[in-house]
Amino acid sequence: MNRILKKISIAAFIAAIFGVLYYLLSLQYPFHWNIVPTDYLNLYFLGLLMTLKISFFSIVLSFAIGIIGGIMKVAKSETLRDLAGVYVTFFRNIPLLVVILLVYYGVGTIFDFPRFWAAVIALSTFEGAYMIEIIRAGIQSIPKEQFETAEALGLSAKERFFDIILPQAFRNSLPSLTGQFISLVKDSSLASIIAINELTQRGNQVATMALASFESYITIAVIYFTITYALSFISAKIERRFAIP
Amino acid sequence: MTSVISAKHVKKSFGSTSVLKDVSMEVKKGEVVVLMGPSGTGKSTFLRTLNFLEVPDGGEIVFNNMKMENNPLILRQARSQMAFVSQSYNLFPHMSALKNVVYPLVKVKKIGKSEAKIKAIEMLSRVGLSDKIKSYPGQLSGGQKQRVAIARAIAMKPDLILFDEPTSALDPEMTAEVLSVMKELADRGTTMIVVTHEVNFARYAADRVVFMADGVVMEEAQPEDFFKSPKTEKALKFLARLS
Repeated sequence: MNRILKKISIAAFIAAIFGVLYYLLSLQYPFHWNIVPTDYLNLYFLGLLMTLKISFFSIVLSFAIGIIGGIMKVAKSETLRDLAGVYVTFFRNIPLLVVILLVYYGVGTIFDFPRFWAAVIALSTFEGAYMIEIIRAGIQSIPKEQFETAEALGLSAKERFFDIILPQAFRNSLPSLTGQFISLVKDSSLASIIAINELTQRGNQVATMALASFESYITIAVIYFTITYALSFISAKIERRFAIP
Repeated sequence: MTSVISAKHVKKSFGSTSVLKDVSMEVKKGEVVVLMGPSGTGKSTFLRTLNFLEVPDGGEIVFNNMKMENNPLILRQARSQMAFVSQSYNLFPHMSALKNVVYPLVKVKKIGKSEAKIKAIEMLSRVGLSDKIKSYPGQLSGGQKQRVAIARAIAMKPDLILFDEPTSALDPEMTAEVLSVMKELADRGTTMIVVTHEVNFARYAADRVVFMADGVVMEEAQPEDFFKSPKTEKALKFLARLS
């Protein structure tokens, strides 16, 4: 109880700071909350749907990349390790915005795929690089005796990996993975650069149409916060569900 | 009596360090062999070459008339008949005690789930843990964990059990409970090779003590003879330090 009170008071303190900022801004900027977001709920809703759609496909794909790459990173074969290593190094050292532009204007031109998939591919390949490192760390955090015990029992390589190592690695990685999923949802806002009508793009549109930029940006900030907060809430639930006693 | 395992001229190096120089050993059915020796003399490495957790650089290991090779099919076959209990982290933390025993029975021994369960419960009771079958390793003491590992080992009905310092991570009280389970196995005629520093276990449970130092077998004797009158200087020194 004490802890909850403490949390609430800290939240109240931060809210108060925002309140002061809001007040100072309102002295120079006339807020029109009666127009935005109320008159444009439909656009925000469409934007939210698009953000969720991009995020969903990208989370699934990047997670797949993470698992495959993470396994490659701990493989016996040096070639596989290097392959995953080069991939990670490549994508961790260029900005996501640039990846999106390259995929859309470059790869997208060659293979002629729609901008939606360009965004999904860019986001998944980029975030996948981080997932690889998370999964690798998850696998390597397992004591080597676990690998040996599994081997000594006569389990096959497949059984060792899927029944013994992966379930433990997944549990170890879950908190970092959720963090990465949350980053991904937020990073999807960069897809607005290739004119995808996701939440940020819609926020921009409303800001221009209604001449109400702050109202619009505050609105999308609140929506983003709600999605990602819900994600961490769900993940905490999953963590508890899978926790090893 | 038939030989369960025989190792001939086993050699193993890590980089430029030669850990096993030329080790040979034969263990017959029902025999309990205790491997002793100063730390870092290759006892554990030797034990681990027997089930090919370490692939030997030279020599030959024949287990149940089968020549050990670094081949998944042969190893799976051999390991399903040769249990291994190590110092710690033996159990899979994401499985209950029962599941830890059932899982390899189902996967490796291809026994039906319900039958495996009955067998697992029987083995867990034998090591005195019938009230802990639903517990997870994280909820068990170190001694209880090792006993589950032993239950898993014997449930596989192996022809040989390898113990790699099974009590060295435990406090004295837990050591005693684990050793008493091992002693019982020995009395039942289980063939085992045990790397341990527990003199009393060696004295009362072993048929033979093998003393290793510097990557070779220095001497082999019956426990009474070994502890009363060791033949080598090294063994004498080692025993003096133990007591």
